[in-house]
Amino acid sequence: MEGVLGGAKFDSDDQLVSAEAISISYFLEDRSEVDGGNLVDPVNEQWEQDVFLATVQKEDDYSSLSLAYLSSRSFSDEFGGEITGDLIYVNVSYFVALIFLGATLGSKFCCGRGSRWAMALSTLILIALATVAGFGVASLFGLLYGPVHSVLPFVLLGIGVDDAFVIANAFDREREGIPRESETDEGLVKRGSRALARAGASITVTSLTDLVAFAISSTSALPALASFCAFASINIFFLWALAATFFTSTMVIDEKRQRDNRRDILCCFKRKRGNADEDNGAQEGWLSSYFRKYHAPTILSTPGKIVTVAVFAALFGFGIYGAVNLPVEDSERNFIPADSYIEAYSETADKYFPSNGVSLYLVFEGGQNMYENRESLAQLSDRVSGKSQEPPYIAEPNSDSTYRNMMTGLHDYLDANGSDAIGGAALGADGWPATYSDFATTVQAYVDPRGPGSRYVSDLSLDGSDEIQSYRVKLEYVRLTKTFRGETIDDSDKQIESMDATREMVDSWTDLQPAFPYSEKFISIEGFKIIGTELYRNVGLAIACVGLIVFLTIGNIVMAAIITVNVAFCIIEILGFMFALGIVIDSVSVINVVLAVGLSIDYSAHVGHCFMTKGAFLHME
Amino acid sequence: MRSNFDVMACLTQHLLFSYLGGSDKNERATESLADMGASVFNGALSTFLAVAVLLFSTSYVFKTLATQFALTVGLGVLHGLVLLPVVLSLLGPKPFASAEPPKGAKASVVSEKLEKVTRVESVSVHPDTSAETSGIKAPAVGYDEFKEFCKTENADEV
Repeated sequence: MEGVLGGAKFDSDDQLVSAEAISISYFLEDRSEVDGGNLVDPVNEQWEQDVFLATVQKEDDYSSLSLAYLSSRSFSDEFGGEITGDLIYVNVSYFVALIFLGATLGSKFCCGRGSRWAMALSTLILIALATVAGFGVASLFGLLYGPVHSVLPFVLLGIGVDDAFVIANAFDREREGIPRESETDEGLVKRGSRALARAGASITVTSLTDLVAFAISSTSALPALASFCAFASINIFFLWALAATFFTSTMVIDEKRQRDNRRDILCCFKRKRGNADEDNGAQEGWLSSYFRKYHAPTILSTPGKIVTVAVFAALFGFGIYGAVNLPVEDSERNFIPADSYIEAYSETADKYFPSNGVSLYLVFEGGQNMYENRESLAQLSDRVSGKSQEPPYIAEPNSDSTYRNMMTGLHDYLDANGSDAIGGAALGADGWPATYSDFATTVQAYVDPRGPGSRYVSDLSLDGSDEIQSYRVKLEYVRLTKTFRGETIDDSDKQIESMDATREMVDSWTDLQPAFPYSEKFISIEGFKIIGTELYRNVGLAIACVGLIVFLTIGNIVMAAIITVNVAFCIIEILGFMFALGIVIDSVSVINVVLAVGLSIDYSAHVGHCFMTKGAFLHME
Repeated sequence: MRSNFDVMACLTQHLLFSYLGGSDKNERATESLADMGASVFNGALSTFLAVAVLLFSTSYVFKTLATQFALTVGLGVLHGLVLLPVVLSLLGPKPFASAEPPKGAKASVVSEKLEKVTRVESVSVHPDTSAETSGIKAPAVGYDEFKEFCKTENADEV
């Protein structure tokens, strides 16, 4: 009764006195079919929505009841809902980017010569186009769309804006102080091609590093990570292609507009004053002056160097410490939107129906095998006892909730009552039915919903012609938790150990027929098992590939090595801070670390490349 | 055969000269920062701004992304604009053959005069000690003198 009633109280005669909650489950007949490689069940999903959810969500009908509910489709419904709900953030981000671009892309803020509001808009159009094109092509390839994919528009916005800055900057530098009035249309186009020659190399290298970092990780064993990275690679390709074509063309048009002294996006209005010298493109911005006058001298002085090296050594040490201690954790619950009815359901279920541990099922196949190994199977508890303190951490099989074995039940029943009530088959000397066919009939009569062994009804699987296919033994794991930052969480290391040990234990039963251990938790444990490796494998590969690209494009092995090591240190420090901030290793954070490789290489590669082009006076022939 | 003392003296001078300032690498690092610093900084800031709004999201996925992006941008910029220039000023490789001459110097004029400088240097630097960098500086001709020289040449030209 405890499985159905929550907070139940019994009197001294084991009679139910009261209960605080009741749990009702409705099982639908399986109507799933395979469609395009995916298992779908449109009929049942429709029923869940139109009948089940529509009924339970009618609040007025349950005024005196507090109701928490869940259906199979809830998870995909609610994740989808979250993405649409968060679309508002995409709009806000685009708006913030527009303001930032408008303020910094040109040399003036107000619409006029020098301002670049039209280009800020063009940048956003470029990014939106690339995002839509990328999503379209990726979907055409049939890549799955997961909850993490909704971050892609933001990532692309961040990367795309960088490309716009580099190209606009190159246009300014190729001015070489020529007054705008003296430029012809043809001259502008020539300047545009020189600017693209300058900026093109830069955006190609950064796009290529990002693209390769993602392409590498799209071979990951984690489907969410692989699909996300494939999406990202395709999107980055479109960003690059559109930046080099669409954005550059609009840039030339905008330069013409500037020459004609028109008011930026209000290009129908010409400015009256023609102060030609207000923007000659040659002066250094305040930020560059800061770097030249204050930043560089400070860090490049001898004490500055010592302090810098010391500080970064300490940061690196901290990073190593954090990276080593970074836990892998089940963050599945975190994906549920906080205001969703799923969260309410989970909380209610935890409160009234706390599970003691995770169920484990051992599935034994073949009726004939069952009959042959009947004694061993009935005595299975001997094999799984005494394992609660060591891997596989299986709870002692001494109560109904921790151990349920139909063969034991049948054996005990036959011993006590004989076979009269369940078909009356003749029993052999060992107390079991004498032949296999008798055994099969007896078993089926025993577990019949009206039979004495009805509680085992779900443990026996029959095929269409009532032949025994398999049966399962239910066990339970002890709770494997640990205290982490004051919270009780699943201990993923122990869970991995227990899953592996369970499989080993079952494999070692060579005298029985092959058995298959299964637990609901195994799927996430399999995830724990590979995600740590996946993190280091993908990030390591990404760094290596990016290092190779930097080497090929800069052409200097020392520089490539310095940049690569610099990025590797940066990633390790990011892992350290993740540990400090309580971010655990899961599919979301692994994707973000791969992203971090692509982003942080950009910052270092620009400076490193520039260093190589500076001060050649000792190298000239 | 050089005495050990000679080697040590030479090495010390070399180290002091190219590692603790006075090296052209400081100048190159400064120029690189002045050139790329603003672009890198703006790029990083824009990247962060693109996700900053997600810090206020209630969604786990978005919040994690924004936090990790903030970390990436912050640490990436620190590494690119603080650590990397310092490391380059210490261990940076020689520039490209096609690299721009330093500010204010004309390539043709420099190379003529440079002949002498490099010749003196090739005698005084022990091969072992020159492996690290280009091993360029003659003890007698420092960077400051060289800069001075470039300026005057340039002034003549103009």
